[in-house]
Amino acid sequence: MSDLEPLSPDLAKLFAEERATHAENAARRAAVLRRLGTAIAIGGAEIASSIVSPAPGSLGAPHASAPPGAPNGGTTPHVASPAPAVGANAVATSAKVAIGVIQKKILVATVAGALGGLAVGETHRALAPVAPAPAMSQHVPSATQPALSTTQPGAITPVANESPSAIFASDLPVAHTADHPTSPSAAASTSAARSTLADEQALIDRARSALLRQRSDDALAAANEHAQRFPQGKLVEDRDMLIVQALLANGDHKGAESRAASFKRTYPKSIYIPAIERMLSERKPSP
Amino acid sequence: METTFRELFEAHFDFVVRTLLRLGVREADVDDVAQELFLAVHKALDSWDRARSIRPWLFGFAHKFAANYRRLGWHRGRELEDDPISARIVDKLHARDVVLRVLDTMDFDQRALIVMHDLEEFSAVEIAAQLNVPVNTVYSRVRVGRQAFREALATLGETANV
Repeated sequence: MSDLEPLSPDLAKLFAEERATHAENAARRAAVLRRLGTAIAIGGAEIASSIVSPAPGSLGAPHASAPPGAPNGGTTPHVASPAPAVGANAVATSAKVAIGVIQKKILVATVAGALGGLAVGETHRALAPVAPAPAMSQHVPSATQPALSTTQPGAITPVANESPSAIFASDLPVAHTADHPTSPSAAASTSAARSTLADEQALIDRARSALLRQRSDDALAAANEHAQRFPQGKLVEDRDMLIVQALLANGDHKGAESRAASFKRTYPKSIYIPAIERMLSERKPSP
Repeated sequence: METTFRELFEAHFDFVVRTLLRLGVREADVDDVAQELFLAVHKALDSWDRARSIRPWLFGFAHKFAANYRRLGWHRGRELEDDPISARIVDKLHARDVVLRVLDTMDFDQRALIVMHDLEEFSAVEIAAQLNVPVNTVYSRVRVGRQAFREALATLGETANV
């Protein structure tokens, strides 16, 4: 057996410098822990209470140490609110926060592919009242189960195949958010809006997961259904983005270009524009 | 179990984040990916074989999530790559940018091996156990990976500066 020769000094120096740049990031850690607390709240109330509430001991510290401007701080208020007895105001606030969160999260959902499903799930977690719903615990584990394959011995090998994780937003408990017990008055005023948004999201999710499975016709069908049912919906920007993607996937570069042009006119400040331009140039048909 | 999970999270979050970054997840997305990763870790905690080191186990999760992230091919390369690479830009890059950009050009598995062995400094024995291959195979793959890294680095026009 021949031992591996040590790194050459130049690479060793470069790697040491690279290592030094990954400093500890307490704020980021605290922000993710908070969000994780919400996520796990859906799966199991007992864990959520210990994670979300500042527990005694060293592990409570990150909550306190998070600076106000910490990333994703916007999701904090409803996360930190006491779990039981979500009142009308809290629900209304949740709904408002959720709209904002959706705008932000949709990008992640689109960008992160298979992970996107989970990210969209978070928008629904944000929509859901904080009170943990026992019914949810049956759904979340199944949605995340594929990730567990990495725990097997020799995990890297199957992982390297990049096998589809089959985590799609549609697997997540979208509809179940409406099942949560809320105070009747709050429910009356928000349930309609919530179910509309959930319906919209379901169509967008369908289009997105069809795209991921390279079924661009199905993606277009879902996007067109969204256009018919929700011409003024909250997720029109995402829909139009998905249409450009689906047309490109279909090989319709001209159609995609024309939709992209109208997209840029309609949403001149959209965060999707750089991605659209990149996609168009990458798939430009050779002359 | 909660305590274990939280301790694990606190102790290894930074490791997971830098591993995801080194495996190609973009800075803007890394919090979300890390969150979903730890969600999966939480579900899988019972199956963690405590006789084995935890970091290679967590690395398996990072590998899986980074691979899924890449699968969509949304983020191809880093933003700076939209510009032609000039020596002037490279000069200004931090070691981290240089390393991440070089890693971006490598085969995913070679990249994972360099991250484990040379950046994270896992022992060859740990890596061999994780990959289920002989230690000598780890050595030879690291050699190949280093060669690939060096070639990519040269392509980046950075050799003279490191």
